[in-house]
Amino acid sequence: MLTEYLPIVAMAVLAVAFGVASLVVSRMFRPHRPNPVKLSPYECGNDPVRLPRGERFSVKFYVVAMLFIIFDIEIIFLFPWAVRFRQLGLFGLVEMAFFIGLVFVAYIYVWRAGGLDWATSVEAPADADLASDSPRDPMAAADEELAAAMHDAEVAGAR
Amino acid sequence: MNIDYHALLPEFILAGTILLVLVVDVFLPERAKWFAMPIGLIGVVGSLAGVLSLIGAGTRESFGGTYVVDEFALLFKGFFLVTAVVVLALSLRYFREGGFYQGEYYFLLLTSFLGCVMMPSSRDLLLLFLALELVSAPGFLMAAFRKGDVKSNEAGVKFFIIGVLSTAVMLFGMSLIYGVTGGATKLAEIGVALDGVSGEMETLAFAAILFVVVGFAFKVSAVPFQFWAPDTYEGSPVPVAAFLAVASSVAGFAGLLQLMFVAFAGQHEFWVPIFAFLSIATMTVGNLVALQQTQVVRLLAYSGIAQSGYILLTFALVTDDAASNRNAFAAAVTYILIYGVMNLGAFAATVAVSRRHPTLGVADFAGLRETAPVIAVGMAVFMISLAGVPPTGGFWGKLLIFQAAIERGGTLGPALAVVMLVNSVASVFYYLVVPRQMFLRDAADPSRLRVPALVTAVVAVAMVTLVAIFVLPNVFARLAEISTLVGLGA
Repeated sequence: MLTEYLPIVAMAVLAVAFGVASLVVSRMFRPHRPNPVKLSPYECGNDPVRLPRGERFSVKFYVVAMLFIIFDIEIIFLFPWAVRFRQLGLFGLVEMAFFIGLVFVAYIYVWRAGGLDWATSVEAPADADLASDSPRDPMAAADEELAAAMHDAEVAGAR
Repeated sequence: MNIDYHALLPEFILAGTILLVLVVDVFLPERAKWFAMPIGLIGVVGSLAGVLSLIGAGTRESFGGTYVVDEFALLFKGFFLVTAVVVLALSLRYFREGGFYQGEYYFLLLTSFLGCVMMPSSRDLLLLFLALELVSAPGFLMAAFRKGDVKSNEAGVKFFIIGVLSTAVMLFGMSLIYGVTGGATKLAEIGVALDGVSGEMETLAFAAILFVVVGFAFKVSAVPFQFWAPDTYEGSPVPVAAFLAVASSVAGFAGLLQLMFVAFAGQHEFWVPIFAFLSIATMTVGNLVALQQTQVVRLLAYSGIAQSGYILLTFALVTDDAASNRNAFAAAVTYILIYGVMNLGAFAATVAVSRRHPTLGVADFAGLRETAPVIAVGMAVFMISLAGVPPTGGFWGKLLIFQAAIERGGTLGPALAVVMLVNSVASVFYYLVVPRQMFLRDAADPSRLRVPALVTAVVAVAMVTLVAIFVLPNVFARLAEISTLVGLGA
């Protein structure tokens, strides 16, 4: 019975061998002459503007992803219900109203917690006074810091 | 598709409360956020009333027999809801004064408890898995609730990664069972179907059982899958550690009891040695490492690991004899319930001390007899009970397991009993470290410790309960009837 899996094993061995062999062979034959330009991260020919490490992105994207999932799931469940609407009858209607009600609660929470406010940044209630002290966008500050770090080789190396 | 709405009443009330807490929280001003707790408390008590209204109503099935409310389920539901009341009571001051997101915390806590309440009724692999995830997922967030503290972040991340890993392992085992049994998901059907498999399929079934057991071993922090527990408990807010140590772990055992005694009962010859190993390793390692602890929450974490070992011992006592299995089952259930009471009490006392000493070293309990006499006496009772020394309920719990082990006979039963006895004696040393500090050492600051009334009440009630259980062990005599769950699948 196990012999049926022999081709799969052979395939796996071949795949690994090919990968390892390519790396080893190219290492043996290629010239190795690095310079700073070659070592910099490739960004479509432009000068790299940010360090690959320590890059920050706004937590808002996370909120958007969560919102998307909530409504995505709602749609996924609405479709089969719509297709079988007559067969499911009143029971299905009530269940669906219940389900949409649950999603709506999540929506109310996001709205009240400030997840939909794009003009001002989403701040934790405990950090509210902290935010008023520094009205500048934290993203902009992070960008400047990183840009400065790019020009200062020592700092860039230390990060 | 039959739905028994009365049987589902506790879950409905709790689910409604969860939604209410979440919505009310976002409309409350910052100063009144704590109001989420009384709302949650009323909901939990209402849910408890729902459970009480179902007592004596017989076995009730919903959703085609996948969700069953019987005495076993009601007992555990009641236990979880009482635990919810206690954890809510411990949380109020802790979270109100610590600058936490209170509404979100109560929402997550109650969601976890909804999973706990669903667990003992779930008689289907899918539902069992859903309930277990509903317990764990909010737990990941709650463990990391002390956002400013690196230790809490570590606690959350460790718990999350280990939780997801164990879920993956368990789910893989469940998928194999689905395949081996030809599509059975109900526990009783799995029991019947697994008895019919042989040859290569049986080997596959054994592998599946092993995966599921390993997954649950992570959840109940059995050695060698225990390493996440001490770090997670230490980093979490103390009420969350109480929740994880009691509700989350007992929910794991409630699921494991159903799986092992109903679905996999026929394969006991395969998994009894596994549980014997898990049990011996868990209690021995837990007790030995606990001996070296100087931080109370870590001490309680390792003590909890050792206690898990005692409960796992009952699984290793399963044989072909139904009467002996019922004994083991009843001993497990009794021990789990008593363990819950004493561990909740110990955490309540720890919450009281954490107000003055957030680092919670053992030495921080020094002189507690002067600064907080009720807490000191209570903590002493809980420690003695955890060690299994009379006159406390913990003694009966250990005695029942010991008795079941001796009655099982063979070489395994008495051997396990001896290991357990040796471990219990060793555990006395570290359990008495805390009472020694409280009664024989003097506090650096002799002023009275201000303990919230709710926390004192929890400690007092737990203390009285443990002594009462010792005086009236007959309350547990009826547990033998509840073990009708045994042998359903065989």
